[in-house]
Amino acid sequence: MLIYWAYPAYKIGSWPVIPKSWFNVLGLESQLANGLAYHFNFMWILMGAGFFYLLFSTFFQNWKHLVPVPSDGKRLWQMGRFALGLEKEKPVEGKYNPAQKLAYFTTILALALVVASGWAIYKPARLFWMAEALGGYRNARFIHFSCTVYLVLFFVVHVIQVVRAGWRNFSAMVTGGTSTQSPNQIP
Amino acid sequence: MKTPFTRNAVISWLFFFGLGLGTFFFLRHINKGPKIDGIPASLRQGLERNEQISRKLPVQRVLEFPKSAAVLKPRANGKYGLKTALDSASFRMQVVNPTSGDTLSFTTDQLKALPKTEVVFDFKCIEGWNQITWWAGLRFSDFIRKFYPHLLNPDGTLKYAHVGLMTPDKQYYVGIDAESMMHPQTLLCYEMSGQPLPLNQGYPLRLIIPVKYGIKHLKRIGYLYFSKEKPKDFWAERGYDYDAGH
Repeated sequence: MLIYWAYPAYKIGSWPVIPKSWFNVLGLESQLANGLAYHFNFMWILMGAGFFYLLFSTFFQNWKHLVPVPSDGKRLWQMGRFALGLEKEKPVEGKYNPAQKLAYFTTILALALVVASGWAIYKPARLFWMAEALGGYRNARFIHFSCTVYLVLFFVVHVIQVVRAGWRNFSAMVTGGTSTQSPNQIP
Repeated sequence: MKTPFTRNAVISWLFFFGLGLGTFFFLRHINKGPKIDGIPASLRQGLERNEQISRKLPVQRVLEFPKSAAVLKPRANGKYGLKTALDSASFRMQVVNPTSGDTLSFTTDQLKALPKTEVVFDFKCIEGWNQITWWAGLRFSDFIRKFYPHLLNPDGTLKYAHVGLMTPDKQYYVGIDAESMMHPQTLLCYEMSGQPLPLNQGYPLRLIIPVKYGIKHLKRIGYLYFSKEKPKDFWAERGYDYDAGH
């Protein structure tokens, strides 16, 4: 937001995606230089983390739990019905339920896209082919922004869901144990 | 039922809180530490490292567009260095010869007498906006080959690592690496959209350097000099990346 303040171009209809007042309330105006300095340093941390994630994910084959498969569509439908109270029986779940799979998988994709589009707009001359692959400089900037919005939304929903799921689930997230052994869970 | 406190669970929790605390102190350390030109020193060093890395990538020509795609009245950001009244009759670009120390003065007409190069490119501002714009002028590399051939190495690169530019009132100034200055699309520019430059776009002479953000495209070039050290730079002193290159 330190960076976006300088040129808040995106609107939905006539509504700015981030209204001017938000910057003022949060005290984020006139800090473009600082924002850019953090951005161009911390991008390495994000890429480093992404690299190790991919490395471990490949080594332990964790990605198999995340990549959606065709049958997830039907299970997602069943889940939706259960969540709305239309179905009494809780659907069978794996390590992650299909909604989680979709959320986590798209988040990983969004992170990869954020990195690619970030490089495309950071070095549009030396890496001009990256901007071209993403449909030009302006498109790449839009992709970079949209993915960021998606990631922020994911973060908010994720935290809400973790709070909803309760303490035992949270401690399982940290320690790597399983939170429940409910009968409808498939191994 | 409580979470069993196995050895692994304890390690996991320590790791979790360690990571949280570590992040907090890491950010505080960066923020509270010394600053260089408006930003934390460690971030400034990071920007310089980034510059070294990006220099390893091959230099490219910036994409060019047909003239019909250009915005005829581009946005004019920044009046620094343009606030003093311009005496166009006495306007000269003064160039200091680093070997002899002599200063040569150039009129715009002298530069217009040399071959004109046109560039239609996507002008990018560090604020985030971009516009396709159309400029014409004398290639900086042509200017050097014509007037300062003794400053060139046999391979065509400049003997000095940096070039500095200043407005006539010295209120705005930029420093640019020699490689970017000698880039074939870098112009000592006197025309915009097929017309002489307007005052707010740096009439009578400005720099157009498509491999850099707009902050480096100095308007109204009063002085030009060559340097082994990084010349002072207006926006780098105010927290921005010195390189500001694409």
